Amino acid sequence: MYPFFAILAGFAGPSMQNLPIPASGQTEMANWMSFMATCLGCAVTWGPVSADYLVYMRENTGTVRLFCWTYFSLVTSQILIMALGAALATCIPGNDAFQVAFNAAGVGGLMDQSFQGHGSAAYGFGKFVQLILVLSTIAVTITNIYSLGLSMQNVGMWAVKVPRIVWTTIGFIVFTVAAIVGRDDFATILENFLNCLAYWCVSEIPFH
Amino acid sequence: MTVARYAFGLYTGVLIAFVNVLTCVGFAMVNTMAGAEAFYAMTNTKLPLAVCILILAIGYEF
Repeated sequence: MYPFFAILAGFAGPSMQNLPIPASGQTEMANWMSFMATCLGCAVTWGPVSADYLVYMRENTGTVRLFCWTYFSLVTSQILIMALGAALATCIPGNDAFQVAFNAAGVGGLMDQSFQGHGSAAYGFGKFVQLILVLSTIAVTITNIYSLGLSMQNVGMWAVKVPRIVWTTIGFIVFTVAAIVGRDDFATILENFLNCLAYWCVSEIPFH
Repeated sequence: MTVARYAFGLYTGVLIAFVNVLTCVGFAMVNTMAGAEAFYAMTNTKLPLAVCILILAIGYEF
């Protein structure tokens, strides 16, 4: 996926700005801390589900090697992409076209707007890049739903008797309905959800 | 999530496994919404957002 994110960053690059850092004070420090907690909530959620995937490593893998793989994957997937998202958001202030696009379709609007102004061929290629990025979210959903089935079967022996495909289908129905109902408040839902996650995951992770 | 039983015991482990189920549902929801927003912009906001979510979710299922 990195080539496609790099292409997006390259097309959006001319519009990005170096915004001044606001004056520091108690309010800014509080905002910074809560935003860090939200980012932590995104990263730390992989702790509980990582046990489902690390079983694919050999059991005699060294701890240093295991740590390096996990750390490298998390750093490249979280920090680089979050930095790209923050850089895309710096296009908005003082740029009416990006503001309109963001109001119309959120982050997707920013991606679409990034490819405009480079000619129609570049815009058509941008649609292809967007399609790839859209399809990549399906891949992320698969890991969540797979872990959902495994976690649900940990709830009790009665849950093991039900085939896992039933649990994943129930989960599919629930998350689709929830996503459709809350489709207009994406940013609020994302922030509140990640804050809840940061709260309970951090307290649980040390025991793993 | 079986690992959690080592630290928490059977019954608390059940609770944590269930909370993890809710986490997974929530994360799947958030990911689908993010993808649907990009899809919505890709179709030049012609396709309704709800339909975009449905297409992505069903696309995962098959």
